[in-house]
Parts: sequence; C-alpha cells; structure tokens
Amino acid sequence: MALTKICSGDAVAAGELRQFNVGDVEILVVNFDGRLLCLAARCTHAGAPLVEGELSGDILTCPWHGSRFRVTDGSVVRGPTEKALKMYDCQLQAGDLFVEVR
Amino acid sequence: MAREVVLGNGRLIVALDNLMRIRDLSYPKADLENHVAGHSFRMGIWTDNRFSWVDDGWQVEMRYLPETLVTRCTARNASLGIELEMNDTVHQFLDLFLRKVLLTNLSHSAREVRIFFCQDFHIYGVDTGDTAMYEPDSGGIVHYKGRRYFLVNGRTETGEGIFEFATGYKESPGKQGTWKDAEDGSLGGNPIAQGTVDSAISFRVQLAAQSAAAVYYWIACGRNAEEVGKLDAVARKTGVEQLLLEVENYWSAWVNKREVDLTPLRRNVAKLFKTSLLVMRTHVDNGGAVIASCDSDILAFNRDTYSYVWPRDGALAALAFDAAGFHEVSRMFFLFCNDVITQRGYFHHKYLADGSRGSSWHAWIDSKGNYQLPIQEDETALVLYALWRHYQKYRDIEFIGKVYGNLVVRASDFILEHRDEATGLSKPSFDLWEEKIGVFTSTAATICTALTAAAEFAQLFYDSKRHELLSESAANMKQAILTHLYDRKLGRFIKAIYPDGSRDLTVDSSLMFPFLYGPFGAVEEVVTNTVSSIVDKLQVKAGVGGVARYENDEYCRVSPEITGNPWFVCTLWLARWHIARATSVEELNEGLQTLEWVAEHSLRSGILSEQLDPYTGGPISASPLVWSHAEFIMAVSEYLDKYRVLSATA
Repeated sequence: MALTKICSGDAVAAGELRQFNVGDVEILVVNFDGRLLCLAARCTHAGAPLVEGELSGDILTCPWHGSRFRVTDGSVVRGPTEKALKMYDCQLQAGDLFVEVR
Repeated sequence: MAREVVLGNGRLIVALDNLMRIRDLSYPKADLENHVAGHSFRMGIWTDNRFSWVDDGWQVEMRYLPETLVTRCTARNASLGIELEMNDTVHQFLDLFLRKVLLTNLSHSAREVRIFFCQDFHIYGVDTGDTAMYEPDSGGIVHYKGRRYFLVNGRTETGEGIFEFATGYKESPGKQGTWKDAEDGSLGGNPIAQGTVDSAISFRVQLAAQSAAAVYYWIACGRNAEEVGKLDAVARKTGVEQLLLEVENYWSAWVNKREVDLTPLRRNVAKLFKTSLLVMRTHVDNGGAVIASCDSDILAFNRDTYSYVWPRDGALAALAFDAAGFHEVSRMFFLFCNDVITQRGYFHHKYLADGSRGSSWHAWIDSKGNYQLPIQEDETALVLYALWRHYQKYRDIEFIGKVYGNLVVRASDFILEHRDEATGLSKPSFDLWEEKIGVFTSTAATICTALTAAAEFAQLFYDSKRHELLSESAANMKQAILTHLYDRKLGRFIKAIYPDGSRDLTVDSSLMFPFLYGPFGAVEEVVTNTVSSIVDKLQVKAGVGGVARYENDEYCRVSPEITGNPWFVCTLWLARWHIARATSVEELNEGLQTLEWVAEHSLRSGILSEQLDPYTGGPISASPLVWSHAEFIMAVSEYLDKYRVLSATA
C-alpha cells in the first residue's frame, strides 16, 4: 500500500482534531484517547468542515446540521446524514503519521 | 453598534446587529441605497400571555456556520422558557434574505407560541413616501417606493402562512410604530399605510412540552411587484431548508479553493482567514466596487457612512484576494477602476458602487484660496501596484491588455505629471488618514512602487522608452524620499512636509509604508529604525495591546492616557514587518502571535472592526471594515509563504 506522510505523530493533541490535505484529499486527523484516526474531513450530508465540529468522547458532531459520527469507524450515530464517513488506513512510523489515500 | 454578521451576494447586502436584528439592507448595489439605514427590524415572542422583544432579557450568541455565509444564532430567554436557533442568509443568486427560526419550548407544558417580525424599511434611505400593504396573492406584506419592492413572507414548518399582520405609521407624534401593536400578542390587520410606515407579521405554532418547530421568514427584493412575486414563489416552492443548503454549499465551495495551505496555522487563525474572505466578498458589488464597510451606524458620527469605494481600500482588498487565490474578484475591481479613473489619470477621493463620485471633504482650494488637487494620490498609486502584483501572480496578459492603456498608462502619466521638479517628490495631496494635505512619506512610498509597476508593464508591452522613463523616475523618487523624508538625526522617516515647508515629525504607523507598499526592504536600516520608533511610541502598552495609528490620535479616542486606540491595520503592519524580517521559524513567532491576537479580538462571528477600545477590546468605528480583513489576509499569506521557505531550509 502507498503511504503518504501526513504529519508528525505529536501534531494532534489528545481530544483534538486537525485537518490536513494530501493532494486534493482533505483528511481529518483525530486524536481519540491517544489513538490517531484518519477520516474524511467533510460531512457526508452537506460538506461541512468537520474540523470545526465538536468531539465528545468518540462522537464527532458536525458544525452545520448536527450529524453525529463515531470517529473509531466513521459510522453515523445521528442524522440528518445517512452515509458513514470514509476512514483512511493510517499508521505511525518513526514518529510520523502516514496515511493511505486511495 | 457593530454589525455582528454581514450577508450578501453582490447585489443584496444585509447586516445584523448583536441582537440578530436587520440594521442595513442595501439593494441593488452594495452601497448608499440602504433601505433600512440603521433602523431595527425587531423580533418578538408571545406565549402564556407574555410578550418579549428579543433584546436585553435574552442571551444571544451569533456566529457564522464555519466556512460559509449562513449564520447560526441562538437566543434564550429562561424566564419565558423559549430558545431560538436561527440561520440567516442571502441567497447567492436570488435576491432573497432567508431566515429559519427553530423555536424550542423549554417548559414542561404544551404552549402556543407566536413569533413576530417587524419591518422598519426606509426605502432609498429616507422615511417618506413609503407604502406598506398586505398583498393577498402571496399572503405577504409588500413595502415599496419607486422602483424598489420588498415582499415579506414566511411559512411554519407545517405550511401555514402569516397568522396576523398589520401595517401602520411610525416616527411621528403619537405613533411609536406598528411594532407596538405586537405587544398584546395580536396584530390589528390594517392592510395598507402610506408615508412613514412600518409593518409587523406573526406566525403561530403549537409546541408540545420541550419540543421544537421551525418558522421560515424571507424578504424578496426587486424592482417591481412582478420581480418580488416571482422570488416569493421560489421561496414558497423550493422551501427555505433547501435554499439554505444551496447557500451553505456555494460559499463553502467558494472559500475552499485550497490555493493556500492553512495547515501550519492554529485553527482560530485559519478560521478567521476564511471568514475574512467571505466577509470581504459580501462587500464586493458584482460591478467590482469594493465597499469599505456596510455599517451605517457611523452615520450618527458625521452624517455620512463608510459605504463607499475608496480605491485604496479596494486595492488592498484586491491584493488580499489575489494573495488567497481569488483573482476573479480582484479582476472585477480592476475593471471597476478602469471605468472610473478620471481623464487626467487620478482617482477621486471615493466612489459610489455605480462608479459615480462619492461625497468628499477635500476642498479644491486651500485656506488662502490657492488651488489644490483634492485627492489622495496613494489611492491612484496603490491600484497600479496591486495590478502589477496581480499580474506577477496570475500572468493574465489578456486581462492586463484590456486595462493597460486606459488605466496603467493614464495613471502613470498623471503620477509623472504630478511631481515637484525641485524635490523629485510628488506634489501635495491628502494623506491616507484623510486629514491633511502635504507630501507624505506613506504616499511617496506608494508612488515609487507604482512607477516601478508601470515601468514593468511598459516593458511587458515592449514600450522601451516608457520603461526607461518610469524606471528612472522611480529611482529618482526613492532617492528623493531618502533626501527629504528621512531625518538622519532622528534616524527615521518623518510623516510629512507641508506646503508651507514645515515638517511633521509625528510618529505615525503609516511610516511602515516604505517597506509595506514602498521600495525599501524590511531590514534596511531606514526601515528598522523607523519601526523601532513606532514600537516605542505607538504600541499600546496598557489594556488589550495593539498598535495605535499615530501619536495623540483624537479620532474616536477613548482615553487621553493612551496615545490612540489600537487599529487592526496598524497592528497587522507591524506583524507583517516581523514576518518579513524573520530568518528562522522561531523568529516568525512574533508575527504569528499578532495573527492570533487579531483572531482573539475579532467579534465572535469573526468580524473585524476598524479600531478597538484599548481597555475593553470592544469594537470602535466601522465594523466590519474590509481593510482590517484585507490586511489580515495579507499578513497570514505572507506568514505562510515565509513559513514554507524557512521550514524547508531548517
């Protein structure tokens, strides 16, 4: 698999969100409980920037219409969206976070 | 009162105050034709036989939804047991102001709730000759005068239209206004009023305990009854929910061009960068005019507003739009300039959005009756400079070809003509603060770079003689600035030389122009020494900090203890200097801290005013001010460019 470095492993503090761009792909990096997760950065309902959303536990709430996603698997917890968030495979290597963008 | 949010589409611009009330509505050009002119469109709630206007008894929070021109405002009245969540916008293509109100009943019992919207139009900005009438075909209220029509209508989420309405008289003895009629929870149903008039409408919803329901409200704007009727039909047929989604998506796509990588920034700075672009865009008329501010409250100060195009402010906005990748917007402005430049080659003090000449306080003669040109020459110079920077970035020679002869050649010919042969500097003109006439360092610096820009354009179009003349003139003017406007004893630039030969030694933040918009580098001694004086004299040590405009600045001055209120633009100039002189990522921090300071001192919505109260940090003077947002965009862009270079070489 082709991995791309997205940021250093300490770029996103626990409980925080940050957005990075890999080419044209916008990726949301979530530090959930010390675990770095990579998801699509736009809400599947109307395209809101999820980096401006609220993270509470493992639930991310969209800043526009309040759709809720579970950051560990991208699944929808509450609408209006019906479509899950895309998850990207990622891994830490030598202190940096790498993501596979397909 | 500052404007908390501004919404617009280049024809219709609507500004709301911090109680969610419409205070300005300009149509069909984004300037003086303000049909509300600072008056208030109140909103009220009636339930359980109690009435409350949404004002002091309510906790109100206002902001934009991130990355778009739709608001999210909340208002809560605990004693009434009501919460409102509102989304306001102006449709990007249709001249429709749209509002969704989600009414929540916080009490433990079912209730009928009525929401009231009051319309206080002053069509064409004056209070006479208006008509307000119930219009049975649409079921809405129409306000009209001449060729301006406004149709107010709405629906509940279950499809019910206006519950009650009233039109009536205001602002005359014994007539407070139709809004007063709402306070008993009912409206009288008067179907028409003529003269100095207003209107009120209400919607009724039944809410179960701790439940919510939406009410939709809109204002269709047009030139006649047919136009507003068609827009009203679109709102009814398409529905506000769908229209809101269209707007959210459009402006999100607009602002996310992704030509600038914002990832090195903290989130609040990146967010303000995007909000600034959106707020600036609301001030750009679709004919290319860039309005300095839509805030009409400054009317109370001098009976005039900031709703004009200052070519300076427009040029700086164009530089900012270009820095962020929005060349299509800056081109619109340059075409506007191409249309309005005078035959002689200079720009007037300011313009209306239709290109006509704006009001002015610059006289054609001085106190002794001698002729003086009533312009601010830096306004002409900065347009040329911004156009050259635009070309450097986008290399759109076909576009430049359209404006070269009329704009570039004409303006540079004027600049050449308007020089003082004895000094090599320009002849006197008014300064950028619009207060005094003389030969100002800030103006001279911009003229110097304008000559260089015009020389580069001449070379581009293979006019060698012109290139030579302009290049030589630029070099001579740079030398003349050093000879006449730099004081070796003081070790810094001076503010100005006046027509009587006197020299103004006031430390002024615009003395950073030789570096910002002039021919000098950030680390040249003449610049660094000058900046040291600015830091020493103008950095506000007490209160919220920031940088004042100049020593003992009286304009809106809050306290004699502080030399002047902090201005966002002046503070950002210093940040830009710190960024420009940085030689390592660590040295960039000083500039970055100022960017974060600006983000922290913006309104919650991200709006930047002209000045801040030095003690409270509250907004002073026009708010929003496009210039403040433009300087922020430029400072962030320069930071990111420098960060990339320095982090790559670290």
